Amino acid sequence: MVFTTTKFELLTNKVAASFGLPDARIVTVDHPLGGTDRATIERWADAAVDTVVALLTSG
Amino acid sequence: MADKGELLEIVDASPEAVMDYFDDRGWGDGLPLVPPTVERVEAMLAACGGADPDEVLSVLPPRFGECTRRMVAINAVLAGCRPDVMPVLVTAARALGHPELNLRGVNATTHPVAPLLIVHGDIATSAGYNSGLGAFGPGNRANATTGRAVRFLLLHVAGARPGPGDASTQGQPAKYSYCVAENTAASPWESYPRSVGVDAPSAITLHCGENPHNFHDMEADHPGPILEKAASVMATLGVNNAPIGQGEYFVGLGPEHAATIASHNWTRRDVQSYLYERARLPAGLYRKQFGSLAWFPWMHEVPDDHLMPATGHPDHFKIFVVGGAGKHSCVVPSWGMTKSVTLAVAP
Repeated sequence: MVFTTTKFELLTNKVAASFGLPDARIVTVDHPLGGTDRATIERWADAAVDTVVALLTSG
Repeated sequence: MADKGELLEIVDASPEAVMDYFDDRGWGDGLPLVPPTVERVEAMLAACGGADPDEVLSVLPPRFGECTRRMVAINAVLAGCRPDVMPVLVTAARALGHPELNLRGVNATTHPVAPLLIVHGDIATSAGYNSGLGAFGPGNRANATTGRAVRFLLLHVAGARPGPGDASTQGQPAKYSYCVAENTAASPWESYPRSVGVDAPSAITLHCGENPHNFHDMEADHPGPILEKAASVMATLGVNNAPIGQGEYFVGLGPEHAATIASHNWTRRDVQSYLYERARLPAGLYRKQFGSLAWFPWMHEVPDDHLMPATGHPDHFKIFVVGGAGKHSCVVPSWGMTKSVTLAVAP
């Protein structure tokens, strides 16, 4: 599973496809991580949990 | 099987139409291009001494494109190269694939890193590279077009287009073209390649770095004041190398600075050792400024008031001579998570 941010979603998908993994499990969170306070980061992480679980438990 | 490319028919061969044609497909760097006709590509390949045009020289991320001599030749034509630079470009293509260069990271980072190509030895002279006055600037076809062709390999073979293949936040002018020659004739020391164990008539170095950071000293008749200024350029918090212990710094000494330093019998190693001792900031300052430090283990153990070298070993200072008359030199800090590569030129 790969985590990326909204601003790098295109790059992440291109690189995944280059590695032969066009259907890689990618979780996209808000941007930027750098310079964002811890509480906000934790809120973004909480919001991503359902996506992470769904990707981990899907076929 | 390597990609041999595709023949395209362009009805209107005017410069404007050709530029539009390439631009519409996302090819090129935004500047005019030379159409890579079969004849022009064959002329480039002829400079490779009969070597297989479709041998894979390297596989370049993020697209993992196969870089063959034919691909190098096509991009050399596009960039406006003369065929005599082909051996340099073929060798540069090999160097781009070396793991320690970390091209995947170079292209994926938000940092404005660009591969600086330094040409050494006989081919620098025979192919007309500029190692002297204004070497980093415009006005020399070999420097300008070879550097541009390297960028085309990244754009067209590696897929390093801004956005889907190159994440650099701001980019930098050196991403258009970044090529100089070592001024061996004006160097008081052995050639740079020999200093790193490459003994060949011609060689190239690829160093993935920032733009040149100038430093000047108009007055000194001793190495100290010159190298203090070099050290101050390196011991700064803003460069990407700052929190990275393995970061390299290429120091392009102008011939007059190099001569002053050598006149006191300082060797290249003396310069490296001096810079290692003087390019320093308090360890505590680094710790205060960076939450994550990619240091060597010993660097984490020293107290805050210890003066921490800008990089973890004297070998990481790479000294070469470039430029002409005047009292200017430069530092080219690396991106950090990359090591330079020096190879003998082979077509």
